[in-house]
Amino acid sequence: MARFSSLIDEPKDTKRIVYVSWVQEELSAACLDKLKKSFGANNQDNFGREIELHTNDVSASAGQAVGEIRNVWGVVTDFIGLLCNDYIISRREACQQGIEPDLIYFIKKRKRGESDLIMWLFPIETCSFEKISFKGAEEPLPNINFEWWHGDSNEIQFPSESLATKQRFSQDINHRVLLILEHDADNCKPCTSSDQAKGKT
Amino acid sequence: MSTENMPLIFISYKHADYSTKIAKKLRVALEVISEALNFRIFLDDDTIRSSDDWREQIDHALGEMTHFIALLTDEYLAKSSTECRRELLTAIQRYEDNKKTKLLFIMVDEINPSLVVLAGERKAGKLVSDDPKINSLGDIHFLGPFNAAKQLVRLVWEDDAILRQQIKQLLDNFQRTLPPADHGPI
Repeated sequence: MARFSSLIDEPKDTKRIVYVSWVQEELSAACLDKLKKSFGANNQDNFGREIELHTNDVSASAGQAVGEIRNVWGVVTDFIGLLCNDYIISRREACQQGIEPDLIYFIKKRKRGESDLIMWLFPIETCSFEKISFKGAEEPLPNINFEWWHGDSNEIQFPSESLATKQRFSQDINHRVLLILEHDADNCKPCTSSDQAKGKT
Repeated sequence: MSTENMPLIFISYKHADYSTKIAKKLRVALEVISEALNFRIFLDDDTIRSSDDWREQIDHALGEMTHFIALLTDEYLAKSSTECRRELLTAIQRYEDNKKTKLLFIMVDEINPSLVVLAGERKAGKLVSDDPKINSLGDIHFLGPFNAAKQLVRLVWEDDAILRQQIKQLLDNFQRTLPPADHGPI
């Protein structure tokens, strides 16, 4: 069940563990760099919770998370997927090799509804979620078109050399980070509708 | 659907510089949706070429393909590109022999497809058909890319942002060529 902002008063609610999942490619790297700067400038969300940022280790293969990062997976409150074609293929290849990649781990966790995990999408390339499947996963996914994805579904525009496009890119990432910082499960449609669907409200 | 019955997309390209880069990007974009839409992809890449039977693999794919996607560059169409020419003529032959192969071209370099005529190949016996349908490449359907005015333009491969958008358009157009039953999710 999503953590209602009105209930934030316990020690474990003082921190949000944000995990960014990405693949090594140009625009994703640019987005991650901007994300780090944005979260660096805003190290607390709108409810006073500290933001702690982690990313997967791109030097490892998609599913073979280095030990320390794998330990973080269990306490992540916010998953950010920098979604592009290369990313999807890398996660699918991990599944086919019998390794559970981070994306699938977190989707399964969210589907079980056992934590307050929020899944954020950052479309590096527009992905039709109903056409992205993971047949090779331990629990095959026919698609990843879930109602509980959060975030702006518009594709992130790659900046070119012009100052205008660089500014637009910067503003876009800042806008998306703001959505994360402002997130209030009480008034969030993906959170409340999925909770209602589970009969929890 | 068994693997053998799934549509097979053959990507034909000149192994050089930006053409190879585009082919690989296109293959990745197609792979993302290939599971859900039930189709296979064949790309003659380094992995294929490193095997001893690479030519047999290409011939097998040419014999099975349902969709032939050609990345048209000046080099691809050059007479010296014998392998590209062989693949192109094989695809056209299959199309004209009604073997259910769709011809889908992508404009990479600025070329005028109507000026790429096939009369020479027919005269030389390299393209033999009882029902020749294609006089030039201008007679063949292009996947794109198209600008806002629906005019065929070239792939702007040197600008990654524009290339991503164009590849998305190509994919949208490609999906319309699949059998209707394959359009939905699994």
